[in-house]
Amino acid sequence: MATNRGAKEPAFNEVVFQGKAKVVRAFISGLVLGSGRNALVYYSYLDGVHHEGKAEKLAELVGVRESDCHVIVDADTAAWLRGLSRTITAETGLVVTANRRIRGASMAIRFEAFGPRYDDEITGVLGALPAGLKLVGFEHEVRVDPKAGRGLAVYSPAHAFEASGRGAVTGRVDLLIAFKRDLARYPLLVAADIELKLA
Amino acid sequence: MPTIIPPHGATAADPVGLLPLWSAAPFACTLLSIALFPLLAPHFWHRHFAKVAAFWALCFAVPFLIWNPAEATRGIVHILVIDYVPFLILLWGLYTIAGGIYIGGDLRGRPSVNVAMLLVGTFLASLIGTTGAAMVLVRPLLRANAWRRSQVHVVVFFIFLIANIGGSLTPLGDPPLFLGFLHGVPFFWVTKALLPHMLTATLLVLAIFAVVDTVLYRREPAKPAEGGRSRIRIEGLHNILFLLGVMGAVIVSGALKLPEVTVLRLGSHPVTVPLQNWLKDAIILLMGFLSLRTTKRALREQNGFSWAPIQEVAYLFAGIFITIIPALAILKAGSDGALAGLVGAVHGPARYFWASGTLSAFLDNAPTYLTFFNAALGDLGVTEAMVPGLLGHASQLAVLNPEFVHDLQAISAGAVFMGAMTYIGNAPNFMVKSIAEEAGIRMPSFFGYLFKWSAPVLLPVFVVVTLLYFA
Repeated sequence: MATNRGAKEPAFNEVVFQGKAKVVRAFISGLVLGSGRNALVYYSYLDGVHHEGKAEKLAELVGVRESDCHVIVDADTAAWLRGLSRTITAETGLVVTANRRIRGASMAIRFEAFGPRYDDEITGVLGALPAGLKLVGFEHEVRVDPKAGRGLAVYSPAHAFEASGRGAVTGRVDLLIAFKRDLARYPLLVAADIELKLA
Repeated sequence: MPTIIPPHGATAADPVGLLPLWSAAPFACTLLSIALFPLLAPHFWHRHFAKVAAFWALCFAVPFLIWNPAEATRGIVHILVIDYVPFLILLWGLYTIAGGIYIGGDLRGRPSVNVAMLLVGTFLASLIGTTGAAMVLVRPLLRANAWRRSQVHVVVFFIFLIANIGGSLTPLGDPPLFLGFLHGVPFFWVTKALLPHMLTATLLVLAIFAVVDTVLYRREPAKPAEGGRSRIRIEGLHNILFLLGVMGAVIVSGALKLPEVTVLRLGSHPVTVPLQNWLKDAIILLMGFLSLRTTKRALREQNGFSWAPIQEVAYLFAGIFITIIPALAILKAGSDGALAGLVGAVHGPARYFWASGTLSAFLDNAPTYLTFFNAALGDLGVTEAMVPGLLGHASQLAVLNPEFVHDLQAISAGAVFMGAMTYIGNAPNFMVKSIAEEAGIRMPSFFGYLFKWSAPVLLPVFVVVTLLYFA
């Protein structure tokens, strides 16, 4: 994926195509490659960006609703696609149903850890977020019960150390997607789908 | 084995069997407490489980003693002497000895290594008990797979095989089977009778594991350096001798016929204990103490050994065994008891397999086994003393009864296998989950385990076992 970093903060749009996700992905990839553009492109279904509810998914499954593919692209590429939308429909049958500016993005996170080492590791990750991302509403709770750590309990298991936390990480969508990918290294830290705030 | 159970049709001789069904409510409450408190209020339960168990035991024992002091005293002394104390001694002995065996080394969690470890552990569970095998093997397996991103499935299949299915080949393997042994089931009957069922279930579950583990292994972004061989180091191996001592004591106690000692002469029948039972308990205690004396403390520390599980079993099973008295007596009373409907409804091995299994999945499998064991006796109108004969062993009291053989196979397999269905189905399940969580693995929730893992993997396997052996 090419980068398109200038001096100004990059802006992003969510473009919605009506059509099968894999077809849209193949088309966009070909279009971008063919044009030689430096485009930033993310696919919501691949990167854990919320794009449809359970009801919509069910409607798609039973064939009541057309499937669609939500694509996040930099603002320049979004403008370019807007200009091409009629041609795209005429040539491929894919319809662009929405093309809206993303004003912000956030991702709920939560974790539970049963050893100080893992708690330290996770709070360390959350305490040193990449520039452009912010941790909001973070609640952290640690419970130490030395009596619970008597060893191998079989019928009354309780951990001597229990830590939990919840909150949300907000910021630019591309940074948030990169951060979410990185979280795969921390299985105890559960990240929800990224929620987009659209203009 | 002594019998104090009157033959079918003579239940009036055991008035406990004619108690109303609600007298078994404290038993149900004890089992539900064990099932629900760890999920709903783990810290409260951890601190107060002994008081809760004592409370339910008193709920039954006090009215019972007021109602009929002689029968109540006899019933309580009988179950404590015949079931509870030997049960506790065996678990203590196996756990103590297993805790002295340490497996170290630099194993690497590749599919072949994981399959081999699960296979060895599955068979080891029948020798040192599911709790002992889980304690000895869970840390080596976690260490071996610590480099992997996907570890949950390894722990889940460990619970399926080592903490449950593997314990089905001897009475040492899983508490329900030892209770069966205490009630007349010959030691090696289980080995012979459950071997095909166990092998089928193990091979199917292991095959599924191999596929899942291989797929997930290939998806790992980084793999450990190739070339080095996985090395394994076992310390405290002399404990195998003590383990053999325990096995020998249990086997010999089933074969010897020494005089019986009357412990209590009160109520409708005296409480008697055959001398060989005390001999067995004494040998197990001796083996346990020898293990403690001769094994380096460091080995136990490396296993994370503590007395907590035995304390838990001691407190909780005191409550279980006291409150189970009316339930067992009512079931033994068969068509004369308050559970005549249940006894009449559960017929045939398939139903016994699924009924004992379903209850074992959500309640502790040891009392569940005992309940269905007695239901099967009540169903056929036979007594405990006839059990060896009914299972085909030389006896003057009964001859081989294929119906009982199939029923008991189904009850045994159901109670042992389906303990794997939930975290609360068998004692080591929770222990393995806790150890894995403390090692940084995000284990599934109670329902996550049930719906994402045990139901999709195990239910089809149990259907195959049913079709092959119980249909």
